[in-house]
Amino acid sequence: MKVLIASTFVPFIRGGATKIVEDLHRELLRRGFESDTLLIPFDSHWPNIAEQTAALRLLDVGDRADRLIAIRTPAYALRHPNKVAWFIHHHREAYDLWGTPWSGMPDTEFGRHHRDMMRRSDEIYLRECHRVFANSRIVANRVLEFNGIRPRAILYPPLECDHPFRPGPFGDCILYVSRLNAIKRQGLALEAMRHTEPDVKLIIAGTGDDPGYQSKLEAEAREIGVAERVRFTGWISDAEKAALTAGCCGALYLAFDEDSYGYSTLEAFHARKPVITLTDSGGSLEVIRDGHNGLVCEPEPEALAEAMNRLWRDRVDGARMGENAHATLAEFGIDWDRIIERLTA
Amino acid sequence: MDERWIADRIRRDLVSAPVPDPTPARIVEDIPAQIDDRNAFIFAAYRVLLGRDASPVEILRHARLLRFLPFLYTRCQFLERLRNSWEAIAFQTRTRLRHEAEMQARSDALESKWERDHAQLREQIRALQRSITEVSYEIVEDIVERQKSAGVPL
Repeated sequence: MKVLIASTFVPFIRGGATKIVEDLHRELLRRGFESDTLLIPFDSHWPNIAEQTAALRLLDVGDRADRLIAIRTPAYALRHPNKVAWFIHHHREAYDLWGTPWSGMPDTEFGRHHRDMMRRSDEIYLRECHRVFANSRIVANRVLEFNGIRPRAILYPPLECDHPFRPGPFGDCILYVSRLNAIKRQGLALEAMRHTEPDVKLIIAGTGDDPGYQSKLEAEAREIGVAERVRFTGWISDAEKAALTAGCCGALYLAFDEDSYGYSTLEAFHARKPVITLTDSGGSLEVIRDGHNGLVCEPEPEALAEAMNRLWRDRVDGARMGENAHATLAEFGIDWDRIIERLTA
Repeated sequence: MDERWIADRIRRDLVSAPVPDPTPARIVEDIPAQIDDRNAFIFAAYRVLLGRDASPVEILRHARLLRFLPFLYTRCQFLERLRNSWEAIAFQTRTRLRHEAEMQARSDALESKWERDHAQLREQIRALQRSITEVSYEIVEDIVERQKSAGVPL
């Protein structure tokens, strides 16, 4: 079977969707499929989305592929007689974030017009798909709520088969790997560091859409007097990430109302490390159960600090939660065999 | 108190007793033949049950009774009386208390050793955790250094 994996991407930003495309492509090839990828640059600034979606629709991908798998919005606008969507997330500004401080779209006639265009085009093009899958329950619920389409199944994206994440000893560091931006709430982690035990350390890894955001966070850390115990790495490779994950005593995933559990959660689970998340983090709550494979706390610095202290103080309990975290992967069927079977059926 | 235990103690304390009579005394079945010597038997019973040597007067008194009134005063009865005497009870209580005190001292010693070992182990684990953290920091420093040299803006 010839499979074409299509997705949009922001040049020079390697997001989750790009990773899913690469991993899916590799895993398809491993299983004897003929696979190719189509990555289309896409400007996510809302006034440009409608015309770019139209341009995408006009693209002719031909009929050489037996199956087209669309990943990131609005790749499902591509024309193909046999397409399925593995829906990662909406352009959330026009959906659940609409009318919140997190949305950059103005509540004006112009803004509402663009919002409605996005919603209509998503619905039309998603309905063309033979099957729609979601990457998390939250996303599945949003597709149902906003587009009236019930996804066929939830396919939680796994890590690549030969990922480098291995268990290791429990040091003093808490690791937070994520894109640096306000919605991921690295600032809250810095605030929490004021209330943690003096030996608790924090490593923040990742880059941001805003190149100056790391400097802002570093200044904030200095201002609140925790700079000595916080390190920023910027972008790191998988091998470096694996080394840091192996030596940490737990990981953080503090995104606000996120669509899915985040790759860093999955990486920590593979390394048998517990993950701290927040009660309003969204997708991560689907897999992280408080006291079982991680800790779930209120989005307050004191509560987060207490959770960090707990992982630092009781490493035996942390190791127990880490083992449960690893078992969670099988529990949720987070593996490529199942995903490829569903996407190519 | 278990009489068999007494007999065992007596047997142990009398390893240097005279050569036993080939026909053991029938009056006390659990007293072995090597304590056939009446005086030695009384002496040993005092040592075991009262923790002291019997005086010559005491040995003489009990030896006479055992010798001349064996149908009224058997070795068993002698042991029973001696064992239930206030002096024997006081001796047993003292022995028990001393034994308990010894056990407590030994237990305290073990506990403090365990605590020392535990504290030492804790320190070792802590040192290990710190060294893991240092390794993590070194990795971070390497990453930052590499990014600086590659001119990656922060």
